[in-house]
Parts: sequence; C-alpha cells; structure tokens
Amino acid sequence: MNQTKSSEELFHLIALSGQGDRAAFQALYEATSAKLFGLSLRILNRRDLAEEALQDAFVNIWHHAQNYRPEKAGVMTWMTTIVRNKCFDLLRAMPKEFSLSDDQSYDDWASDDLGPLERATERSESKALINCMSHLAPLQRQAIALSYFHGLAHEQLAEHLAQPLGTVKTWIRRGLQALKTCLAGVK
Amino acid sequence: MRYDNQKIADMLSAEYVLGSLKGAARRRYEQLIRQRPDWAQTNSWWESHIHLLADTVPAVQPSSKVWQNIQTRLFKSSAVTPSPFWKSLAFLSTALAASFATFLIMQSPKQVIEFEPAQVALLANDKTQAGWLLSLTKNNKGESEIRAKSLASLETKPENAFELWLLPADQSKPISLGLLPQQGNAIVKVTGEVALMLASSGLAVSLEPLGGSPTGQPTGAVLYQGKLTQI
Repeated sequence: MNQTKSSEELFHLIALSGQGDRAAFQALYEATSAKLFGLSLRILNRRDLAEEALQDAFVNIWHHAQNYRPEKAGVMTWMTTIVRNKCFDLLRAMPKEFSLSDDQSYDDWASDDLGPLERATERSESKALINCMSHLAPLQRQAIALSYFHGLAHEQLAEHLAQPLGTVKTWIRRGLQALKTCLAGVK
Repeated sequence: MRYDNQKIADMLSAEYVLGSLKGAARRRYEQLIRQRPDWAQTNSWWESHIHLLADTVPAVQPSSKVWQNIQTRLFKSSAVTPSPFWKSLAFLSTALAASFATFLIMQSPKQVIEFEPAQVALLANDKTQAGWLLSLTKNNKGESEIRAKSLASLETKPENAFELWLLPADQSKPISLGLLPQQGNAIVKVTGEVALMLASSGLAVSLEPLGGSPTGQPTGAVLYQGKLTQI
C-alpha cells in the first residue's frame, strides 16, 4: 500500500529536522529519497555516483534544515536545488568526456508526445509545466532539458546540438519567455 | 536602469536556475538577488517552476546503504534511529538489528507524495531560531483555523503569554489572532475575513501578560515574525 505525505507534512518534517529530530529526518528521507535519487541518477548516469550525491545532499539537508524558510521555496524545490548542486559538484570533478554520454540526449523532450514525461510526475504544477513546454519547438525543449539536467553553458549546448551559438541563445531565451507567459497564465 | 527591466530579470533568473549562466555573470547575479528584493522574487518564481523539471524523472529507490551511510556520517555511534519497533528488538545484538534495518528499509512501501498545496508559516526570532509552525486550514465545519505547533527551540516564558498578531499589508493596526502555546499544539480560530487578509499580511508574536494583551494592541516586545505562504 502506498503512503502519502502532503506538502504540509513535508514542511513539518523539514522544520522538525531543523530542530534535531532524527525520526522526522528519517521520515523526510523515506518520503523524498526515491524522487531525488531518480534525479541524481538522471544527471550522473551512474548508480555509485548518484548515491554519493544523494548522501552528500542529505548530510547537507540535515545541517541546513534550520535555515529552511517556506516563504523562500517549497520543500521539494529546496531539496531539489541541494541535490542538483551536489550532482553538478561531482560532474565538475569528473574527466571532461564523462560529462555527457550518448544515451543522455534528451530525445524524450524533443518528441511530439510528452506523455511519458507527464506520467512520471507527481504534482499538478508539473503537468502545467509540461503542457507549457509542449507549445515550444522540439529543439527548444531539448535545449532547456539539457541545460537543466547538465548545467550546460550556451557554448556547450551549441556544440551538443550542432547549432550556431547565437541561434541556441535566441532559442533558449525565446523559449523561456514563452514559458513564463504560459505559466503565468495558468494559475 | 537596465536592472529595472523585468524581462532582463526574468532571462537572467531563468538562465541562472537552469544552470546556463556561468562565471562572472553568475556571481554578479547572485549579488543582485541579495541586494534587490524584486530580483529575489523573480528568482523564487523561476526556482519554483524550473525545478518542476526534476519531477518528470521517474522515482528510483536508492539502495539501503545510502541511508546507513548518511546516519553514520551524521550520528556516528547510533546507526539506526530508535523507534518503538526497534526498542522491542533491543535484545538483539546491534549487528543483527542493523541488518534487520536494512531489510525493513528495503521492504518499506513506496512513498507517494501528495502535493496538496498548503498555507504554512514558520515564526522565527531575530536569532533565526524557530518558535512555531503554523498551517492555515479549514475544519470540518468549513471554518478557517490556524494550527500552531510549538518547537523545541522556542524560548518559553512561563510568566507571560505569546500573542499572535496579523500585520495588515496596508500598515493599519495589528489584529489579535489569539494566544500561541508554549508547548505542544493549539488551534487558533480565524474569521473568514481575517483568513482572506492572511495571504497578504505579516505575522508577529508579542510577549504579553498571562491571558493576553489588556489593550487589544501589542504591549510587549515583538519576539517572533513570519508570513503565511502557499507551498
């Protein structure tokens, strides 16, 4: 049977972790680690590294839980930021050729059917994001996904997508502007 | 000035959160969001939306050794957080208990997070110590209420009462919402009118005589502050 945790419970768990409550921290780990591990696995593409990043991130989360403020970010947003940063730290320490393998091309984002991506999501806001992404050109979506999951600079993106730098810059900016307009209209 | 242009704030914020903003531009941006509340707000907006991309990645259960390593790194001696169930296993050797823990974590049911939006606040003092968690909810009669949970880091004042105030956005006089508990939980009932104001108002806690402010306005020091936010 599935157990569910609401945003409010997650908020309580992180605040109590900030008070040194180990049981709350364990419950927070159990509620969020699978989703966050999925993310680190996607970024690092290697189980051992992804586990190392997840460990580092949760050690960090425990130490900084007392600084969590709900008015600055949602609990998952806050934790996702920490996990992603830890993954990028590990990526930077890797030899250059490791940074992006062939099976990380993000063709799923370039596909006309974003259904598989939508089915993985757990939140209604994510479905709104995917809906807004679906209005962008396939290469715009792919560039945004590559950038998010690998922190690629425009120059690296241009190289990876085999497109001129100026074109890539313009694509991403137009894409982000269109996303903002679309998302702001959802509410 | 260039920094007053919302479109520029949006693009730099989006690229910052995406990760494509690098080097000196990235550092300049980080300085800007510390200095300008409008930029900080734009940054939060993009953070809350861009990070939804992570939600499109399927969940994968990490191996149980990840949690063990986290515990070892943080709490060294105690590899397993005690819970009532563990206490019943206390007669087993530590090693056996630890292997059991591995087994149970692996067997634990899949957790699904139900992201129902919630209105919450964390009230903290100027030393950034938290005092209470608040959630605005409706009871089964449809009336609005604030559920308050006091935290271990609250500096209790047994000779006084903690009174919760709403600070209206239009700077008009504070409105008393009720007393907060020094220990445990409490429910503060709010009228529908006040519930509507809460989204745009600040919250503050003042130190008052037992029973609350005698004047209807804060009379003692304001010790804790916060704001209700939807998460």
